[in-house]
Amino acid sequence: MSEDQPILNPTQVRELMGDDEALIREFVDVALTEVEELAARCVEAAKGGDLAQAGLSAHAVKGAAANLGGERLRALAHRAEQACKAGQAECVSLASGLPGEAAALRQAAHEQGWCGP
Amino acid sequence: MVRAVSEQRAPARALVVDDLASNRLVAKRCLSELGVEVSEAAEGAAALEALSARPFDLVLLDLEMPGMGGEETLRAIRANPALRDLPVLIVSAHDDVERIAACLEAGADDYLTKPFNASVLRARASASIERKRLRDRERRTLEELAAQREHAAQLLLNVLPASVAARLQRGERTIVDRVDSATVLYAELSDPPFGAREQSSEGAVGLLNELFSLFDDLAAARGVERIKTFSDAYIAVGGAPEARDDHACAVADLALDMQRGAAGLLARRTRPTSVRIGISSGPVIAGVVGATRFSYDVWGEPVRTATFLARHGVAGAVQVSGRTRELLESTHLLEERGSFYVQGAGEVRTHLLSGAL
Repeated sequence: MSEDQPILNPTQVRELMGDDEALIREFVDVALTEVEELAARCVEAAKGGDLAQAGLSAHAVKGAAANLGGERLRALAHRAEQACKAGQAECVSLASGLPGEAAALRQAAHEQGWCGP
Repeated sequence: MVRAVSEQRAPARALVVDDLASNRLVAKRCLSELGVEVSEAAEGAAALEALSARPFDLVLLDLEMPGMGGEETLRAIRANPALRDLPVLIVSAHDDVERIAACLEAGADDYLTKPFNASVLRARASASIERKRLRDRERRTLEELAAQREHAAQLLLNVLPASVAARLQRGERTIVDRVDSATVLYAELSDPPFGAREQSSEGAVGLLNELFSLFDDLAAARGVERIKTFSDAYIAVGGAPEARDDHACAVADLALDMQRGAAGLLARRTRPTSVRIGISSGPVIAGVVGATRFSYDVWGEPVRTATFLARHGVAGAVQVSGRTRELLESTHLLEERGSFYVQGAGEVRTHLLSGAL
């Protein structure tokens, strides 16, 4: 994970959803909720040794984060997915970082006025 | 600028298949800008159910889904003949070349990686839908052409024997067959219906229609070919276009059937009438005339002789020529009637057919 990457790239959201603020808020709310649930599922699966399920959840986080412009979360989810697939021990620590990064993404979206804290 | 795909026609319909609601929301928003109606499914089995319930013009398909995944769903779609031409656009966060290639080989029309550019998605979706609509139009045109061809073939069968129609359809331009031995039947009413005071024109046509329809059924049952009708006359041939050894026998049996059928039908008239039938055998020329309105016909001495024997025959009876008598000797009862001079045939001895042995 690179600290140079933005937590949130608002341009990506606008590129996908246009300038309709209500639609953006609806999308961000749905996407963030999914990202948080998937991140939690990924951690649980990784800690339980179910790396296949952890990899699938990390993959889903990656896709949803990409749509949200959550570049740091996307990059972390990608690394977690690869580690799960490769059966690497660091997959647990990478997965464990996902909820925190998801929270950071929510905070950044909140600052854009797109969702609650 | 991607053109809307629903201008001046029914809106296109797309099915977005993705387990994440946020992804479905994004796809729906992008496609809605094209005027596309969007339905959603959260996994493969639900997608297949939706596809079987109504027609779609495009499927956006995610790969990683719980339950039936994208690849399995794609294979099921391509295995269904009804969905063979349905465009499937894979939208996935997987960007490894092998997996993309595998999807395309399995029948995906296109592949977009997440995060996708909305304009690119719209452009590819629009192109896929247009291609599908062109294919649909092409298929409809081919179906219409096939139906028209079938209709034309059916019309041809209404006026020509099946084997002759088949030869025309195979491209034979000129159909002229020399038939060594055939038997021609000529039948006409002894008292023509037109001009009779008690018979209206509608009644006369109705009577002939009823009579000739009956003769057609009887001829078909005996395997004898109806050649044509004109005025109150009916002409048929045995032994052409399909050669048969018992052509005289088949035509004689038909003549007896026709007399029996006509007797019942014509007895209902205010002024009773009957049918005179002449039969003659020998070599004929058979062929098709007409360039746009085809007609199968036979020519030759037996046609002239059968016509003469009917016109100079006995009401309600069947008069046959000497040549036909020779062919019927062992199968039918015949009584000598006399002899006539027939132009082109000379002196013809005639017999009356009274039944089958």
